[in-house]
Amino acid sequence: MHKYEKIWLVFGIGALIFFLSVIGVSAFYLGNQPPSCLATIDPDKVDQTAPFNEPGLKKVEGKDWDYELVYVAQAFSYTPNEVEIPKGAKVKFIVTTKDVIHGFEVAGTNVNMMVEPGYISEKVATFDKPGEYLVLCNEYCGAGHHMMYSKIKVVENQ
Amino acid sequence: MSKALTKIDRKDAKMVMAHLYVAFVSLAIGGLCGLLQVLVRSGKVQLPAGISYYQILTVHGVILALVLTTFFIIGFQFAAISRTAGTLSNGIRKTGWAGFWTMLIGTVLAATMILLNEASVLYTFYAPLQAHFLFYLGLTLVVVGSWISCAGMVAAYVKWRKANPGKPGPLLTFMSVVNAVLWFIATLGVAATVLFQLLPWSMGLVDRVNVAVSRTLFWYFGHPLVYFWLLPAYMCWYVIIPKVIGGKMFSDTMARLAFILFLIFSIPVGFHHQLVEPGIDPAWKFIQVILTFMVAIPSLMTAFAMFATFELYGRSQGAKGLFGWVKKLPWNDARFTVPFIGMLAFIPGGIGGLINASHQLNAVVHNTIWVTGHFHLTIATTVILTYFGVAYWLVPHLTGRVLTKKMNRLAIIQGVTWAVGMTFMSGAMHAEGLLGGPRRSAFSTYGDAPQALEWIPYQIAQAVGGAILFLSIILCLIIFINLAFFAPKGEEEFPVSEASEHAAQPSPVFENWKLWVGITAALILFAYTIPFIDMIQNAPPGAKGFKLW
Amino acid sequence: MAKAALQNDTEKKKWKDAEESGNLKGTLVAVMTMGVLIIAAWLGVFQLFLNRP
Repeated sequence: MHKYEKIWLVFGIGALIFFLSVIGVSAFYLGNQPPSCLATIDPDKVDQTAPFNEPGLKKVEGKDWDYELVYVAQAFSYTPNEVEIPKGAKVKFIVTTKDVIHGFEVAGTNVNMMVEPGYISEKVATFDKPGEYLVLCNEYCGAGHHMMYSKIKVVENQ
Repeated sequence: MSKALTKIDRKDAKMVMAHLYVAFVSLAIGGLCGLLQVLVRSGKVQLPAGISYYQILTVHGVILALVLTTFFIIGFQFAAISRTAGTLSNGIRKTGWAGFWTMLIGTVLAATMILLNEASVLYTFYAPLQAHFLFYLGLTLVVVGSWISCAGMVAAYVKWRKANPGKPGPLLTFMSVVNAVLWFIATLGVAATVLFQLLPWSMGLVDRVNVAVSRTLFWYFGHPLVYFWLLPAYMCWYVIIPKVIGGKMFSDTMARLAFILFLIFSIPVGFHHQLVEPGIDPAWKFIQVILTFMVAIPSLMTAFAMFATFELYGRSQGAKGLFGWVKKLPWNDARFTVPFIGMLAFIPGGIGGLINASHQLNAVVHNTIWVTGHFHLTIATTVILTYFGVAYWLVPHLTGRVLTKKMNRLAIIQGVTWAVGMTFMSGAMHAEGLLGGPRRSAFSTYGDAPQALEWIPYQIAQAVGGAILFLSIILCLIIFINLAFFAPKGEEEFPVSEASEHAAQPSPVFENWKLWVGITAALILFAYTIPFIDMIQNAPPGAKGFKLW
Repeated sequence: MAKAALQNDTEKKKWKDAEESGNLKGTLVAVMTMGVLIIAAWLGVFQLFLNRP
């Protein structure tokens, strides 16, 4: 091998190892894994299965997060379709679908996951700035796919 | 005994050309759909006659990413084998025709279902959206036809090796066989989900389908699919471009090594398309992320090899200084320039790919239109411009005509126009994606949400870029029709470069197929077995089918 | 005959030198530049990831 090719490959592979190390540490030691919930649910019984029988925002105690925000996705809406979250809240999103695969994307945040029938999708996020966030479906789910959305308002504490 | 010819046998040429006709008709149809899509997404245009955006999107994806590509690749590889390993035997040529007709029948079947709005499921056809069973059957025939053809390619190679014991297979033939083997192994996944899940389910024989398993089998196939597309482009870069510019291959050995690395690392990586899905343990996702980064290595090698080829040639022509060799390259030769634009596009394309695969970073871009921007660089610029750059000499070579100065000039304009259009379109897609704009979506303001209104100017830029790209497609079609039917008769070279004389003969280890297929299988089993079994053992009740369009 | 052989050897040496010696400086600069772009872009998106909710 030409000596410059050796230099290049050492540098290039070194960069790849650097990337893997950064995301590896962030994921496995700092808890920043991609959403990978392994819990399952009967897709035909979503409305009767907790917590999806009561979608919406709930304050919780004794957990690593302050609130749980439960959504039910279906073609072509999210329930709840509007939520107010207090500024600074650490929120765990818990989502499932009653029919086909949907996306659950809170635009401008890292809350972005697939929602699949039979599975539950979870992500924890902290909202430090007041404002309005669009929640939308980013996985094709049929004719109304581009009209499937919801709203999150992050409000100042009273 | 077959010997390498400089002009392909005319019967082989006819079989290859049949594939190119289908590829370029596909380009016309798919390109028109793309234009309609960007116009609709600008918010200024509505589709007539109740045609659905998602139906058009399905046509666009299927006909460009599955049909155009497969037909072009198989045609090109048969041509490459005929050129370097010798004229195909009658049996193998007939196999090529059998594959061609099977694929074409499958294509027409799938296309009919899409046009009847029975299969608006996009080219990834994720369950539990359920298309008409004839759609799945059509795609099955396309895959089966490709198997028939790839078997013919392998047979031609085996024949050459028997007739030339102890010699390494001619490089273009070796590379075609690597790609064929990659394809066989990769398509097992999509074949499994279609044959054992989607067909019985869409025919009503079973009620429910395991969605996680189906997606996993699809993406087991879906990632190596992009290498099935990329490798023929690399074949052009490694073997044909050096001859076009008048230089020599940089290193036959390193080229073979790169291709073997693609074979072993392209497949056990499908989870990087499933990084934000439930049901898969993040440890297994990360293992496949590591394997994904390994498949970046042969592309890093290729980048070096390309620059080195150009620099060595330029210096052999007396170029001085760090970059004097750039001026020596034949910028007026479309057979070089158009693929070169493709090479440049792979720089941002590959960078984006590394970001996409970076485990939790994927959440920044998943299913946003950044992803669409990414693959319009990699497949819709790098790969397709290289294919066009090949077609510009291959078509006249096959039809007994020549690439005239006029068509050559038009081809350069086509390439540059593409670059301009794609800069607007893909650039705007990357930016809009980072702002959260979704992919696979018709025009919407999402209830006049402020974030969504921010996306609209980018979609206008995409419409401008897309319109320019459509003009470039028209140029490409004009050139194709000219070279196929109207250009003056003559001899157009099929350029194949040689390695420099003193270069060591490539090691026979590269053609130790048992070894490489064995390693490929071992890596696949390692990366997939446990999470796949988990998916089956811990499966929720399966999903019923939905037709929501 | 001898002259042709001598010219052939000179050709070979030109290529051999080119392949194994330092005449790929431009290539090295080009790929390293690419490498810097790769790292910069990756860090950019990583930053975005860290700074978003």
